[in-house]
Amino acid sequence: MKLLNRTLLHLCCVGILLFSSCEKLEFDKIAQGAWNPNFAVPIAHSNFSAADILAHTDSTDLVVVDANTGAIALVYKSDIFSIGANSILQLQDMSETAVLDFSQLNVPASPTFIGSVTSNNNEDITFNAGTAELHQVDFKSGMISINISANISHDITCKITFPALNFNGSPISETISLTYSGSVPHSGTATFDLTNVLGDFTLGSAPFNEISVNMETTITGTGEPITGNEDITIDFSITNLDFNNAIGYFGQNDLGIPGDSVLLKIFENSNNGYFEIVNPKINFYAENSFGFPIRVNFADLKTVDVENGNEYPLTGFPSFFDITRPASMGQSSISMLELNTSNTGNLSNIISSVPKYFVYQGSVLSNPNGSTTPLNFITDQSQLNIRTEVEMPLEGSAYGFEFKDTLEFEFEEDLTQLESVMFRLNVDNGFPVDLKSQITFLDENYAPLFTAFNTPESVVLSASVDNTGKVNERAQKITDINLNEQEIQQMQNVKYILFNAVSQTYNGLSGQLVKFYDHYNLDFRLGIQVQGKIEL
Amino acid sequence: MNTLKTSQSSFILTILLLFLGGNMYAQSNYSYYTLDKTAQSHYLNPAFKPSARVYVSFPLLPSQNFTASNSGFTLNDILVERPQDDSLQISPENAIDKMKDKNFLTFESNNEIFAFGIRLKKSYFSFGVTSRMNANFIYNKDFFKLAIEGNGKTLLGERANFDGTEINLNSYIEYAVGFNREINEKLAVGARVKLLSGVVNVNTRKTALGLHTNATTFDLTIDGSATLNTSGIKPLYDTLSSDNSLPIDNAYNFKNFGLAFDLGAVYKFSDKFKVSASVIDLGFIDWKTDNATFNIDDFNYRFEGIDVNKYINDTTDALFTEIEDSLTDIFSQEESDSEYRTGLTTRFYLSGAYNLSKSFSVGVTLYNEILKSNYRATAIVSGTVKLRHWLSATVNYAQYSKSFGDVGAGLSLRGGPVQFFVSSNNILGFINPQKYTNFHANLGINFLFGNPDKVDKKKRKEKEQKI
Repeated sequence: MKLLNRTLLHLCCVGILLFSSCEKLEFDKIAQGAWNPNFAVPIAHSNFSAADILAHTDSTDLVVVDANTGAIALVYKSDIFSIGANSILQLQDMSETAVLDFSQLNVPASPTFIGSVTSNNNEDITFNAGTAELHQVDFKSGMISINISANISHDITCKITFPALNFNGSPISETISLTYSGSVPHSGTATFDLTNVLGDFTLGSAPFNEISVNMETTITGTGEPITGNEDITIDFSITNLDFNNAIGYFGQNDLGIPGDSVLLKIFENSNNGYFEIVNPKINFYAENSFGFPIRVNFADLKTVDVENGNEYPLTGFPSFFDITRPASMGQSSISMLELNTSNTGNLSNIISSVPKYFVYQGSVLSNPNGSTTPLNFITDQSQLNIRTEVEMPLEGSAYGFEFKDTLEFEFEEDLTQLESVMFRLNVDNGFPVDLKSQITFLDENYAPLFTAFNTPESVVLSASVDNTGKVNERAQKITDINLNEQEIQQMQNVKYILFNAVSQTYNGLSGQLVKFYDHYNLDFRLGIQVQGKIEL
Repeated sequence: MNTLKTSQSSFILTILLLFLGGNMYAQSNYSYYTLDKTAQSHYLNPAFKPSARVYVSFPLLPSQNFTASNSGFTLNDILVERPQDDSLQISPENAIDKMKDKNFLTFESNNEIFAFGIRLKKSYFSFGVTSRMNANFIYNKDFFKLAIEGNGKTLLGERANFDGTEINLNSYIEYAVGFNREINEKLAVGARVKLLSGVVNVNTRKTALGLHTNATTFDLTIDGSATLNTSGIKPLYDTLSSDNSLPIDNAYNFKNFGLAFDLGAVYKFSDKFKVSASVIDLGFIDWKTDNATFNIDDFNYRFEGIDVNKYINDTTDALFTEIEDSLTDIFSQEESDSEYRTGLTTRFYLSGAYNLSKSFSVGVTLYNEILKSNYRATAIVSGTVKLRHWLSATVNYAQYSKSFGDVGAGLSLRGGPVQFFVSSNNILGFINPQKYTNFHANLGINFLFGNPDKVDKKKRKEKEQKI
């Protein structure tokens, strides 16, 4: 029993001890806590090829790859001049009147005329084709309207025939009957559709531009008199003429003054720098389906930096560019003029100062040697298109090549729960170009608030090249952009971001030549690490 | 603003409290094990029997057993006193330091619905119906690391490891028939045969999940695979299911049939010293109805950010649609309704008790459990007081792994035919909830009729006098 009592006593003591050590949960003592997570996530990545970097915004830009070597060239294109068939030849509406008098009608004077008399007369109609000398026209459309008015008190039959206008190999012809009904004048009409009619304009009295019409007139007496004052008037109205094709000589004409410019996009956002390309070219291409030769006379070729107004004229270039005619109708001839360092005086130099535009001016002349055989031809589809391509093979060197761009920026989010932000840029560069950059955050007055780096930072390191200028080792660079709490809070005041970068080719300052190939690429990865500070 | 912060604090505190508990996988009612004359003690060792000829559980308060535990951290680990004053500061980083790589959040309840027992001479028969439920969430330390620290600190350049993350839920009704018998004066043996009717099950067969953050580029790579069995869940989400039955219907229809055994023995070496041993819940359940097994094949997806080239050349919508499609493909799951079997959490008790006096004994108990191939043992020393037939009280100390253990206690009071009992494996969990992280309580009321032990003692005394 004693043992029991002692045990119970011990149990009570243990119980008292336990309860005396009881700690109450004092939730009211909980002070504010903080959650300070740190998250790191990737934002963006890509692998940029040369085409992605150099010609990603405009389909008119081309990165041309040499199929044999893989070497690449930038080509900036622009259409200089374009002209269609209607600008060369337009067939005008026209009208012609033939009056057949008493004598031409071969009818005798008589108080009472009974019987029938036939006469034949011809009339030449001259087409208005401007300065063109038409020898043959295949009409696409056109209409000849004939109105006959007779001052004869007898029945008349008039057969109109155009020997020079053939449809399916036969001259077009129409007979018009005028029946006397007791009063004069009496009249009749007819129309000719010239669709697919072939006109020969050399059969008239002139060697071109004329067609003749034959008028066979038969007068059948009604018993009324013939006084000798009778006549027949025939009006020809030719309208809506258009052609499928035409042959002749279309004159020596100034076809327009082409003058325009080619934007050299690689320099578009650059302000400064030296750029040397080993073998630049300016190519002019002409596609001509007019059946006559054409010449482009160059007046001025130059590069222009529109920002500072500097012009760099090209010297020693050929003064004209002859465009040949196609051998036959329906074909086109391709002509090309290449301006390079051999046939110009300073082509390499005019782009070394990173100009923005290549500017050209000149004139275009048809039949520069006058009328020569063979005859000219033209179809309704004939065109002359001239374009230029500034080809910049990416082989050379550059330094101090400065880019600058300003982007609008708007950020309204509450960032008070961020303590720091780090952007991490990973660049694995296979191009022989490095890039040193600075990013400046500006307020609404373009005043700097803060910058991404204390001093411009190399964000892209150049891949190194061998003695031929070809890349032999890629270069990697990790760049961290750290924004502290104060800078983060200023983000709401940032309205513009100014990107400034200076680039150069590998050892560009010492003139090391580098070559760009189509297999070069740049791997880019952007991540963000955010340190939060969230009060609980 | 203050209200908001207070709400935030309360919310976080609530989440933390949910994760509080102890280092237990399943029910381990070892405080009750030493109250071996209480009616429900034969749940832990079928060779035990109450000091009554007949017992019936009190319908309004049959035996109720609850366990909640979390092995991850305590409230003290997360609420740290500030150096400058006595205010408490929420310090999740400190809690992470305390965590193991793999942690367990468990909840278990055993709710006796009805039970009775009857002693016939040396034999004892019992019958009981119990609703049993256990749930656990096995989580990795990296899960909290990622949530609290983010992936930019210690996880940068590492794989946040969520392998083995599991969610398990097992709910069934146990219909048990028990029998024990005193073979002789020294040895008593017992067994219970339990027919089980499964109600709901969620069983994580396999999970592998990881998130790697590249230290240089911050690229995120997620990898893993998973297989999850469920039963009785499908009707809750599948509106097209033709079967309108509710999971509770499975409580008695044995569509998900299971079978389990409890075995036990007590051997008295002398009046002062005895040993006992038992195996509990050796069995299985076959899940056959309303099954849905989800399988996600091995996947590995790397997110490198937006592809700028595609962004330039495509629409923003198309770009994000592509990412969404990729993720959908990766996490696409196959669903099947195949049948499966789960084992129960099998436990073993091995105990020895020595009577220091007629009323006071000390004992040592070794508790073991096996859950999904995970073995865990706990050693318990206890002191037990028994005053005649009306009071039994026990205090114990349990030690597991290398950590400090728990102090448990139990009390059984009998007044006339009414027996009230209450026990806990960790009474300190109620006293210092911020320090101790597991909660366990077991209580109930029985009606006991007759006291055969008293008769037996009387007979024994007469026998001794004759001798």
